[in-house]
Amino acid sequence: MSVEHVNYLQPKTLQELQKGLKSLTEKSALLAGGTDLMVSIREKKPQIDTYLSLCNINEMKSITEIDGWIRIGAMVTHTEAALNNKIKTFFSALSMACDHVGSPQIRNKGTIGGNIMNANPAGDVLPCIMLFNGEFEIFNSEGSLRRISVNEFLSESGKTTLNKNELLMAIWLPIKPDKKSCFVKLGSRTEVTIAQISFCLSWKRINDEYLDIEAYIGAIDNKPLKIDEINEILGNRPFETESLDALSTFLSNKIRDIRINRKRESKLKIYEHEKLYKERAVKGVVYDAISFMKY
Amino acid sequence: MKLNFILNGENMNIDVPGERRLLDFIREDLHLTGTKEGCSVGECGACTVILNNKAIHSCMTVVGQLEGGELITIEGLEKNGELDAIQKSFIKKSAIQCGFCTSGMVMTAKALLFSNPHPTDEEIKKAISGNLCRCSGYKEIKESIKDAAYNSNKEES
Repeated sequence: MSVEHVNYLQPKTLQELQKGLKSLTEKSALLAGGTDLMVSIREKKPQIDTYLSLCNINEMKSITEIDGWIRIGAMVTHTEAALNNKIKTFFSALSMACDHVGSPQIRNKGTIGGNIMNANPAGDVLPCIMLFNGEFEIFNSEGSLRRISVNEFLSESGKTTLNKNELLMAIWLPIKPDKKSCFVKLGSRTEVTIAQISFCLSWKRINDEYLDIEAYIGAIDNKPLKIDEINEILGNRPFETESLDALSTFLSNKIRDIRINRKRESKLKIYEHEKLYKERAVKGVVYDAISFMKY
Repeated sequence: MKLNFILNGENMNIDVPGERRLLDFIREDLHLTGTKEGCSVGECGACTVILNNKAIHSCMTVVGQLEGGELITIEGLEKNGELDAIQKSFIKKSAIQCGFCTSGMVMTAKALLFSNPHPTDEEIKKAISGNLCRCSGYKEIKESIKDAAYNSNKEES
């Protein structure tokens, strides 16, 4: 077997990063934490000509508060995000999501940016970024930065729209001190599990009134879905069985419709009756998520 | 690439391809075979090592990512001929059957005690959730970690 020459670039400055981005080809790979890339290399054995490792770019590794926003560098790990006090205070849903991504080893290495850029339908971070109306800071090989909304960042089919000469530098989340949030996921076990359904929710509470509820459900379609009807369904009595059951039925119907209309075959080998699992299990997810609104 | 890092307390300066898998580098280049290869895809935790005080999978890390960091493998726990408190507790509590998961399990436990010297039962359970033991000795493993934490804290006070 012939051994091809492989370039390994690990820039320390933005200028070096710019140069590295310019040199990339279709066969090159951006290396963030590596927890997904290494698996895919092992399975697919692609011929990679250049690795561009991002682990030494300081601008991508910090969490900072700037003018009413939290900027989270794309190379911040899930462990760092889960433990960060600002994220815990203002964006609990993201902290909760990061605290249950993979195993501790995966969380210590896997990054927020890597999770987002994979844009896996079962990814836990993207629904939270969408819930908070976050923005994406993109760096390109010309050295310029731009900030885009989720609608510009994700295509209709749930893939990212970045070009080969661009990368995700950071995420920006607007601070809304009066909003609380939570994240719940259903998997086949409690730890080290991939979401079958993820659900994140934010709300304002004034005395006993719940206002401005927003929610996204993930892992049921090619990208997270916004539940526009949630205020209407929950009304001002989110904890009553009637409201919870109405929301469960609504989401169950939504999942059923997606299943019926899906044209592509599932990549997973699952039996006919297993296809109905999410429609039934979503009720538990709803009850779990809404219970967080009490605190 | 020219790589500088600390391996088990010693400064290292090595020329190595940055994309080389850390697990292969540790076992085949450094001949430190205490670190085991299990699933190779980050599911089993057998290859766990400690980088900058955190447990990571060496099967999902490339050597370049070590640059400037401090790596500890299972061989680095023994000091002056004396085993680490966690290794002693694993022996004392018979937390070993076939032994294949042991080095990864011990390294995960060590990393836990670095960041949390007084873990609760739940915290221990969560910390080892990424380490599989197919002999199912979890009960003894959890007891060993608790015992090691207790002994380390007793020594310090």
